[in-house]
Amino acid sequence: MNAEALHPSRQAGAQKSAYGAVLRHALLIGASIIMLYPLLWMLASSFKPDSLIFSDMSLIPPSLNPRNYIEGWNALEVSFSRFYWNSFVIAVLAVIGNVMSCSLAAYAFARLNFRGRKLFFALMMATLMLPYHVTLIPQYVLFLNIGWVDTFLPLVVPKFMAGDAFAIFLMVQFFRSLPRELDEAARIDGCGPWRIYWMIVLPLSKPVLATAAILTFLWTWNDFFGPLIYLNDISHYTVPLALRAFVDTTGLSAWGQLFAMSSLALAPIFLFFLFFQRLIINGIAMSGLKG
Amino acid sequence: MTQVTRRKFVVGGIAAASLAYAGLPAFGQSGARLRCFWWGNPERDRRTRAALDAYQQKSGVQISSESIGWGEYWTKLATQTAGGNAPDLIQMDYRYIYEYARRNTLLALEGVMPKPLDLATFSAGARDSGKVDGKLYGVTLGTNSKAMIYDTAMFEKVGVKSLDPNWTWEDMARIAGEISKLNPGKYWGTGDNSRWEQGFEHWLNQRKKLLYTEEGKAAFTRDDVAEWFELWDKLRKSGACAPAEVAAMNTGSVDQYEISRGTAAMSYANSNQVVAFQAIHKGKLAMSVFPNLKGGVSGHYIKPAMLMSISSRSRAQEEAAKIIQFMVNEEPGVKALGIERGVPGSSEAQKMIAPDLDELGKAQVDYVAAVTKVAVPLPPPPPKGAGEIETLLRRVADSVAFGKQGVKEGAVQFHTEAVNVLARA
Amino acid sequence: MHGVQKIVKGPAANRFRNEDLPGYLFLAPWIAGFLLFTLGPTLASLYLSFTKFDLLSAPSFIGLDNYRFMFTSDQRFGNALRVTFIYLMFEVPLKLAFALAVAMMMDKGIRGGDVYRALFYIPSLLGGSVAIAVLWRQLFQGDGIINRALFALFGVQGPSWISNPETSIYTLVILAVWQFGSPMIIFLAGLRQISPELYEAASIDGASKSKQVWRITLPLLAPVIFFNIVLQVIEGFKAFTPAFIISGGTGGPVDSTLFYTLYLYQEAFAHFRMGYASALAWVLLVIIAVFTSISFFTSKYWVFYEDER
Repeated sequence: MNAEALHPSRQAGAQKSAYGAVLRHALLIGASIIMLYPLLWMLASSFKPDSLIFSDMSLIPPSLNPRNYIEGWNALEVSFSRFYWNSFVIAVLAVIGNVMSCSLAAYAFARLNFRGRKLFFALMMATLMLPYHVTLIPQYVLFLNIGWVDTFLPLVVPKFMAGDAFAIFLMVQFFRSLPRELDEAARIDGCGPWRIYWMIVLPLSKPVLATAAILTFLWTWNDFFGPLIYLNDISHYTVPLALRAFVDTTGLSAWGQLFAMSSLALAPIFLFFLFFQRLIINGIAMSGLKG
Repeated sequence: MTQVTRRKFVVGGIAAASLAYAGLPAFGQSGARLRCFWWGNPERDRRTRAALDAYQQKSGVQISSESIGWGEYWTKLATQTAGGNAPDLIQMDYRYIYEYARRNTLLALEGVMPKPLDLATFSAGARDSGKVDGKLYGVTLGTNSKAMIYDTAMFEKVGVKSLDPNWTWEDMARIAGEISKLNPGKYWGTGDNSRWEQGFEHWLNQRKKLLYTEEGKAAFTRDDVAEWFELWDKLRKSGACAPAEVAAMNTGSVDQYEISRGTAAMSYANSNQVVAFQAIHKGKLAMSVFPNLKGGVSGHYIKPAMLMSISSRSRAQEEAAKIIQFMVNEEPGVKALGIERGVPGSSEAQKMIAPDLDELGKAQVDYVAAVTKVAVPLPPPPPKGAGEIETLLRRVADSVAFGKQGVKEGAVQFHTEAVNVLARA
Repeated sequence: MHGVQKIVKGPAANRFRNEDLPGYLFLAPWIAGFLLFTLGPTLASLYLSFTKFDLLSAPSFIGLDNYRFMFTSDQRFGNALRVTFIYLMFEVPLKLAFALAVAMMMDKGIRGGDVYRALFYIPSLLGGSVAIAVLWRQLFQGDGIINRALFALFGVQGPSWISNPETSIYTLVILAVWQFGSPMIIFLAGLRQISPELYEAASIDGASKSKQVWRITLPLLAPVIFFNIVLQVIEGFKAFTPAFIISGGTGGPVDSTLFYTLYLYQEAFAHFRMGYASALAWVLLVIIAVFTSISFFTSKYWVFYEDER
């Protein structure tokens, strides 16, 4: 006789929660299939010849011929290894810039008492509301005049200037949740704001910095409009931009290759998300969105 | 521990930054480097790059290629032009050339003709199709004409082995009606063409009328529109033409036409697009002129499928003209481009590519040759605002097809708004 | 966001120390970026909104004409607003409800939670991919999978959802709901902050599961819900990609999916009216600002902050 048999009520409870778990898994698996259907469809299409993609809705490709992948990889003037490299460089620089500059701004908003803080903070939050089409042309003219068009600079330099209001907001919340006594103690030891930021606040804020880093990576990787406007030469294209060179709505499109390359393009960010999601949730949770 | 982490962070950042610098495109372009921008797909990219490479080898001039799909192309070109940073060589569309030429963003090519650019072997129609206000702003890279694209198997099922090029609107209604009976409620004889501005233009041209006047005003009347809507309304009600819900699926993208979606046997497009339609279609496709009007003219004309223009702000206009010359007249360039952008405008170039043509290529050449014989004169180019009218017609024709308004109201709405759009443009 | 007021009213405000210089130094990158990349271009667009500017030639000043035209004669403007509001009205609540439900199901350590979360996030990663445009049109066409399923399950013949002007907007709502990844992540983070002891105590008191959701989870989650609502409303107003890729940039059929930003984009880049598009953008900015202020104002009545007791 084991212990559970001696406590029938607990056993019933365990059973009940076992049923609950099964039900939850069933629901979640069902939802996953709906979530996954488009991905499966895209994968299936990547193995089909173009003449079948629009007439055959089946999720099972006629064969697993990797032709579309091999041809798609080298379909454009430069191969996809170049596009991945470009995307990677831009995303990594964006992450570094965003984390550094946003944490500086957030520290000022969370911990320093200076004139106009309220106004600056409100302005910062207001930038969330700007529709980006408005500023597009003036920004383009600006970057053109400083000779940055067709380089990565217009996509990277603004990230070093704390342009991400969402990240700043998260960090402000997080920094505020750190005990103030630490600062006070450091102050008494003669530390200035810079050393408090660098020696105390940053080391304690790894979760929220990680969150900001990961989200920046995902968003930058997927960004399409910025690269479209600022990158000209094909050898400077990012992955999402290169994908748009497969489809000519007025003429021939390489559909199979498009789906093959789209599937591949998803892989790195999916894996990235899979491995780092815990950090994202942690970072947001610990920043205490509760206000 | 935290020290190390932070130091790692900074060192890593610097390392990544310097790595990135190695991967960063150079600042500024060297003076001799030209930029060529087109919309397209991998196949066109390959051919164009081959032509540019051949030119590069011959002349030593560096040319960078820029290519993107149609939808993004115009956003990007407009942004670059607005910034004064347009590429030297710009692929132009017949629909946009007026917009760009009238705003002085394109080079009038008379200054670079006949040397280095010589269009002597071009047919007058093919050459003049790049003219705006009497000046030449673009050289056609390939010509086409509107074409009805159909599924041969479905036509054979209703006993049409080969479609007579003299077929009439009545023939069309009959054939379409019969095809619709094969699989009722699922498959129709013809797609709905009432929503395509160029279809309406063809219908007007058949009646020796025009869509736009020389001055860029509306040349059609309310009654014309009403009659056009009426024609399709009848086809729709008789079941020959696909219903509104099916027709509205067509966003103008090749894969969304009725024939590509497998909902109708006939769709209306351009002759050079037959390759794209065939690529995503299982059965065999063919093309024909639009239905004829008894006692009318053909209504078809030869137009440029794509043009190549030079930016008016290019610092290498002479060189750019040489590149166009290479693409349209010199054998290595002509052969590299082939028939992918349409039938070459020059008779010499047509001879150069003839040996390499496949079946669909030959069909295009034959089609353009046949249409040339009966073609009506090229109408004035689409004015500023024509693009907006194209979407306007689609919107109004759809609302008529869905029964949101009658044929008469729809005609009034389209005419009134079209006049306003042209006045405002 | 509620933090705005509190930062200022908090203990920091009482301190006598003047931290102007370090404050501005820390904020320097942000201030520089704001002036250069945001404020400058934004003011430029404000000026452009009083001009006729066709992108290809120089702008010419026309005073209030753009705004006058917008509010007196532009029917597509009104229609675009209507479409955007309908979209928002359905998209925001449905997406948040879905995200919250899934988050609650996955809270409290279910086995394989990481994998589920990653799978549920895939649609958000696919974003504006061309593949989604093609797929969505196939799913919701007349004889698409959705209708076949409806017919098999209920024997009803659905319309061609995506090409019918009465229903097309809802296919975009479904697309948005399907991409519920980001609010789900934020909800998961919020749920994690609710202490398990509260539920244990409630269980001991005999409160049912549903009662616990209403009495504990939702009230404690109110600030997070509010945060998500504000974010989603702003994002909803700015939504562009879904309508753009799925309607092929047309906003059709019959303008039924003509989002405000899509109309703005058409005017700017397809119809060469950047001046007018800038005016449209400024009106949108005002609308978003009004809605955000309304949400903040009303939040006082339903968002309960623990530290405000």
